[in-house]
Formats: sequence, structure tokens, C-alpha cells
Amino acid sequence: MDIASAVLIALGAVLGVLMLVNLLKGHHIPKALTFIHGGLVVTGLLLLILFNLNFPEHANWISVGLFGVAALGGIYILYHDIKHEKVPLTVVFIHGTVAVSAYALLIYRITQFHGSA
Amino acid sequence: MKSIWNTITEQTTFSSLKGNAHADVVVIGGGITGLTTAELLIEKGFNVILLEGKNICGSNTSNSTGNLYVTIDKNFAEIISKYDKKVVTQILDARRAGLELIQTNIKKYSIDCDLEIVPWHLYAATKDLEDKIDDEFSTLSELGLNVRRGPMDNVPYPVQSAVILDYQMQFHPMKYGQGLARGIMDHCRIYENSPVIHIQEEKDFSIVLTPFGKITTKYVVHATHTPKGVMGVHTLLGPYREYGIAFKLRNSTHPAGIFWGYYDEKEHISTRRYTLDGETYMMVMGGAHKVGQDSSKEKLRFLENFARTYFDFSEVEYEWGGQHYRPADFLPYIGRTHHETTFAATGFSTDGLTWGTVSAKIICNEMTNVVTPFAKPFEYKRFTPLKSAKNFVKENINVIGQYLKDLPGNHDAKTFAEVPVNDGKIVEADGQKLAVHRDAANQLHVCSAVCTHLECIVKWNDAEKSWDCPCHGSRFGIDGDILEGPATQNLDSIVIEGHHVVLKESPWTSHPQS
Repeated sequence: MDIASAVLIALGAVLGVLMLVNLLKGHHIPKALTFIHGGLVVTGLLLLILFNLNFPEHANWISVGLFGVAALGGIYILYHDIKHEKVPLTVVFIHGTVAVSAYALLIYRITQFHGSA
Repeated sequence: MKSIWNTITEQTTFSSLKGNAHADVVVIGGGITGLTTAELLIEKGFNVILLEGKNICGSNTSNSTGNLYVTIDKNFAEIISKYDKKVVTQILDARRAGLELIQTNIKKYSIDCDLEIVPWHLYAATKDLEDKIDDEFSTLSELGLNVRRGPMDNVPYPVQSAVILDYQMQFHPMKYGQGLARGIMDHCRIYENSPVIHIQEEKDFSIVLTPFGKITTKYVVHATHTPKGVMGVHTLLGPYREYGIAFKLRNSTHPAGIFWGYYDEKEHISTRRYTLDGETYMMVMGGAHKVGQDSSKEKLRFLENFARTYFDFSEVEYEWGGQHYRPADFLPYIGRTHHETTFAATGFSTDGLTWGTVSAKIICNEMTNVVTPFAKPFEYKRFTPLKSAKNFVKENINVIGQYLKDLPGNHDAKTFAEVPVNDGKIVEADGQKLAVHRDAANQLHVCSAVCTHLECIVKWNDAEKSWDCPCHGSRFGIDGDILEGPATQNLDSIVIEGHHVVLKESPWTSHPQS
């Protein structure tokens, strides 16, 4: 479950990078990318929460919390982008940094958990 | 394309707003809703400015049928299954009040708008749809309306079953609107070609920006068919386009009246006659579809084929399209919005001439703290989750579907050369989706394909030659200028620098001069 979560979030991250490239070029961000990106990471996050509930001794709530913060940033970015307003780059940077940190921690905990299993 | 109503020669003209101004109320929209609201408010002593983005009554009012009736396009048998008898009675009371107000204005301002008292007919063209007519007859009778059953004589199309309601009305909507504008112009500042590009809502006042002007006002009224900007109500509305054709009858006639026909579960066709310059014209209206999600040319051909099957005429002289917004719970949203000093009216479905007039009455009363006895079911801020759920889900799944089509590489053509003359296609260049139209003179018109309302990708409207947004119904001209809908900004223009496409916001939309 935690590996599936990591895979989904990784796929979401790839789309996130594509969106960032569009944004930095001053291009429109295709909304299919936005919604698929959001759908993948939210599903991944839900799987991670399920994993935490099923394996409380190996729960990784810090990643969940960080992904939650990143999600709030994502909603804020979407709120501006979909209204055809300039997307605040600082928030994009924070969103990405927090998400990457959460993901690094997730991978670390997965390797620990599966390495010890 | 133009409607039969746009043939009048004596049209009012008003200048556009330049500079700063103050008003008690800014009414946005110069159609029947805006004009009637302005008329009622100046009667109450308000200092009113009316802003019209194009020309007075030049948009949906002049693209309507000119039919005025107490019934509604979603039949009462269906309404009464969702609402109790009290609500349905309030709907009838509201619409009667609307019709009375129109008649009052016609007399008050001596408007020559070809008003006729006519019967309204609802008929089923096929046997399997007769039940709908039976149900409607029973419901209308129960509601105390003096309805009668057919027969419908002297109509050329098949009628299996009909219900008839006498004493409804038809008029020339453009003549009425223009007459109303003339009637109020001495007491109300009216500006044409003054689209609203931004509304800044403060606690108890608003600032309304147009390309070359700014108005500070206590109240704002959105009389624009759907409110301008981003509002929650847009998720409760389905934007649809419908078409009309008009042709001169040859060697035949047609009885006077409003005729609504059920041809199958989805296809409803409306017909009426109108006398123009001594000639009898027939109008056929129908072909409704979600904005930006079907071919308008095909819908017009469908109407022409229908007309040629049942009428004798030489050529179609007028063709037009009109927009309507279907409300999730079947009733329009009218009144004070979530901002205390902002009012709006929307969700009229195809009954806009009467609902627009009713809205004016409700909004004027609410602004002056007068209770309108029939207004409760139409409250703008009402929350009706159970009644709205089905249409809310249907419309918003459709919107998400439109967004999911906005994938990199999903376009109509790869190069500008693939866009035929008189056609429009979405072309992807340098990773940007562009709305490209090649006109009859082989000139290209290129702008961004991203709707400035909520960033859906616009679609080409092949008959009306416009870019239409399939999500919330904003429409733009071939160069990206706003025609109608909730968007307040033109489509971004583009500049090609070497191999790169650079988007440029229209200067007047991003930095209004004030």
C-alpha cells in the first residue's frame, strides 16, 4: 500500500514538473494535467493514510502532514490559475519543496520498513 | 447571422463610458432585464447608470422568440413533482406580474412593439408523447388555469394531442427594449459599448471598471443573463444555445399563437408567425445544445429541414442563435447575492423575456426593502441540494470532462495551414493552444484558446463564427473580444517571436484607463 502510494505520488510529481515547465515558460497549464496531477497525489495520500492506519507501528504521519500542507498550496495555486490570474511563484516553490521533502521522507520510511521486513 | 428582430431601422445609440462617474446603482446589461430594472429603480428615485457591452437589446433579447406566457419551458407536471403547489402558484403569480409589467410599460411609454394577445399551444407530434400532454393538461387545470384540449387546426405539422391556454402574448422584443430605453434615457445614464471588465466589491460599495471608465456605486445589478466574473452560481447553471430561422411563407398561412411541439424526448420545436412589412414570416426555433459542444450549422440545417418538410417557402432569410442558462433546480436565481450590495438574476432557461421582467421587480423591491409575495422560491442564495443534485452533478461532470480534454497534444490541427477558409480550429504551437480562424479573405485571426473565465479551451462555433467556451458559456469573437457570458476579459492576444508564441493580455482589459 505504501509502495502504491509512492508510485502514484511519483506519477503525480512528473505531471507537476510538466506543469512547472509550462508555468516558467509563461504558457497556459493544461487543466487535464492539473486535475490528473491532483487526482494521483490525493489517491496516493489516501493510500498512505490507509497504510498508516493499518500499520500504526510504522505510521508515517509526518509525510502525511507535509503532503497535506503541499495540498493546501496546490489548492491555492489552482484557485489563482483557474481564474486566469498570475500564479504566485513563491507558493509554487514552497508547494514543490514541501512535497519533495514529504516524498523523500516517504521513500526513506519505505526503504526502512521493507528493508527490515 | 441576424435575427428577424434585428431588422428595425430606428435603433437608439448611446456613447460609451469615458472617465469617472458616481451612481446609486450600476445596472450591467442592456437587455430586457437591465432596462426594466433601471426603469423601476429610477421610478424609486435612484441615480442609475446602465452599462451595455455592445448595443441595447443587441444580444439575447433580440435573439429571443418574442413569446410571453405564464407557463415555463420545463413543464409544470415536472415542476410539481419537485415542488409543492404553493411554489408552483408563486411561479404563476410571478410570471403574471411580469406580463402585467410589460403591458404597463408599453402603455406608459407608448411603445409600438406589435403586441398581440394569442393562445399558447403545447402539442405532441407523436403518439408516444401524448402522456406528456395529458399530464400537463391535468396539472395546469389543477392549478386553476383555464386550459383546453386541442384540436389545433390549420397547422401543417403532425399533432397527436394538444393543450391550449388563451390570453398569452407575443411582441417584438427589440422594439420593446428600444422603446423602454427611449422612455428612460432622460432619467438614466445609458452607455453602450462599455463592457464591464472588473468589479471591485468593497464592504458597502463597489467600483465598476470599463475599458475607459470607472463608476463608484452603492449597488451593482448583474442583468447579464449569467453574472459576470467567478461566482458559485455558475456551478448551478447549464449554458445552452438554441437557434432560430425565419422565412417568408408562400401560398400559405399559419394561425397566430405560441406553438411548442414535442418531437421526441429531447427535441422541442417552437414555431410562431410574424408579419414584417406586410409579409407573413414563419419562425422555427429549436436545436438546443450545450454551448461549444455541438455544430451550430448542423442545428440550423436541422431546423431548415423541419421547415421545408411542413412549410412552403423559398429561402431562409434570417438565422440566429440565442443562449440560455438552465438552473439546477428548475427555478431562476434572482436577488441579493453573497455580497450585500450586489444583485443578480440568472437561470431563466428559455423563458427569459418574462423572467427578466419578473427579476427587475424582485430586485427593485429587495433593494428598497419591499417584500415581493412571490419571490421566495427564486431567492438567489437558496440552498436546494436535493432538488439541484441531479442537474448539478450532470453539468459539473460535463465541465470536468471538458477540462480533461485540455491535454498537451489534443488539438484540431497542427499548423495554421490546416485551417480552411471560413473555418476555425484549435492549433497547438510552441506548446500553446491557439484559436485560429481563417476568414473569407484568407486572413488569419489568431488568439489564445484559453477562456479567461475559468480556463477551459474554447470551441469553434461554425455558424455564428465565434469561439464558445463549453464549460460556463462565455463566447468570444474571432479576435477574442467578449460577446457574452461570465468572462470579463477578452481572450489573450498572441505575438509570434521567432519560433515562440507569446501571450499578451489585451492592454485595456488588464489595465483599464480611468
